[in-house]
Amino acid sequence: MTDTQSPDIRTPASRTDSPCPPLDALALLERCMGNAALVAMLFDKFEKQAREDLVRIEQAIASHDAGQASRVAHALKGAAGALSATEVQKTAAAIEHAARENRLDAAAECCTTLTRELDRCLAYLPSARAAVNPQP
Amino acid sequence: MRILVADDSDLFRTLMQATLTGAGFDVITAADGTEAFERLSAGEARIVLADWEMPGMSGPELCRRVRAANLPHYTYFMLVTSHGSPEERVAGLAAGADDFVTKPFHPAELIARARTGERLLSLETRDVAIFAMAKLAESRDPETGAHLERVQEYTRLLAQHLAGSEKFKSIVDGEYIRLIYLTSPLHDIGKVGIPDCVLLKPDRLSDAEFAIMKTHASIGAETLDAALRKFPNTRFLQMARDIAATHHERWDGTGYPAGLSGEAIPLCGRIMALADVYDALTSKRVYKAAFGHEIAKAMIVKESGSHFDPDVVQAFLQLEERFLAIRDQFAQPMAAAA
Repeated sequence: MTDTQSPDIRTPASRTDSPCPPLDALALLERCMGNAALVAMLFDKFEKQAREDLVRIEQAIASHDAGQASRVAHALKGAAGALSATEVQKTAAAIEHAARENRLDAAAECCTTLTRELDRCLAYLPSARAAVNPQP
Repeated sequence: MRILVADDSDLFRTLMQATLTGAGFDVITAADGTEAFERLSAGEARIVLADWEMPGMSGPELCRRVRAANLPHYTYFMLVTSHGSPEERVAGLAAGADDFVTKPFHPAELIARARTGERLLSLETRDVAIFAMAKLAESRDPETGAHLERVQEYTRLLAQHLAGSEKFKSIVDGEYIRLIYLTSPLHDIGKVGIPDCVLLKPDRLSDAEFAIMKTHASIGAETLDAALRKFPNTRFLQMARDIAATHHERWDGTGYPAGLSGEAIPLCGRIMALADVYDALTSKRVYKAAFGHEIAKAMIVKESGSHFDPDVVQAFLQLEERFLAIRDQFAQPMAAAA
């Protein structure tokens, strides 16, 4: 059991900077009532949408469009919530909140964290896919 | 039953669609409020699950538009919120929402809420039954034609207009508008207690006969009061009772049965009074011809502040064209149909 080559799917991601995986694939599977194909589809959509959202948030902040930044962050927060991607959800919420109060500097600061958390989340997706749907 | 999912997020549309389809619902989707409104206007779905925050038209705004539109059937409206704070719920309810789902939702809960909507819509037959009974009560009075249908429309129009004013918006919300439409046909329900010799007299009534006729307001109120004692706090029965009891009261206190004046008369009674009188004036009676709109309007304006609440008269003046359209739509059948 002490073998470092253990096939535990949590290992790769949990070795970075957080003790738990960046998203909870099994919670999502439960939310999808065990429908693995649906979970796979949602992962695909998230992968595509989250990257786009991050770019749109950065662009909105760069062009001082607080309203747009808060709207996109809100959408990303929701999507991350559906996947139980807690850190992305929290960071997006912080950006939404800051942008709503027109504190774009604070929002911009959070973007660094968001980029990191999102990368971690997306890097974890292959493991999450494997956890939900073991056969290749 | 068909359900419309309105969400700008592709991910959420997919998730909600899959959840509801799995539970046997027929699901259609819209990516924004405008598209959702078009599909609902076209009668494509009767249950809606709309995200609170959407670019362009928000969920609550969509709900207000749906409630303001005279769709032929009731739309069961669920709003999807992300924090579900009490303030948000109050704002959602004021917009006319029926229920809320909080993100991220549990599938079983979403399905249960959609089923509740389905069950509630099946109760719409109850509203039809109430209207049928009002019609039955009125069937002894052969002259009224589509009176109930018209006053339903007139009262709703007036309420919708008042909902947009600073003074009345705290009283008149989406639910109020829906209720006045449902309860206004019951205003003369007490006429079942008026003897034929008075109700059907093909001539002007004597003072004694008119005194009997006037009791219909209190008979109706007493009947609905009895129902209200069994089911207190029912907004539907409360409004039906208020309308039956006070639709012959006058703003200056010279009406009947209680001689209430001004704001002591419930707003629904003040609205009903104008709708009822306008319809009586513009309809033919044995003792009088139908007046044209301009004459009826002049008579109502003249009685603003004496018979009618001036604010309701102002609303009526803003809505003239639409009153005329309703009158044409439900044109009175020639003479007595019986």
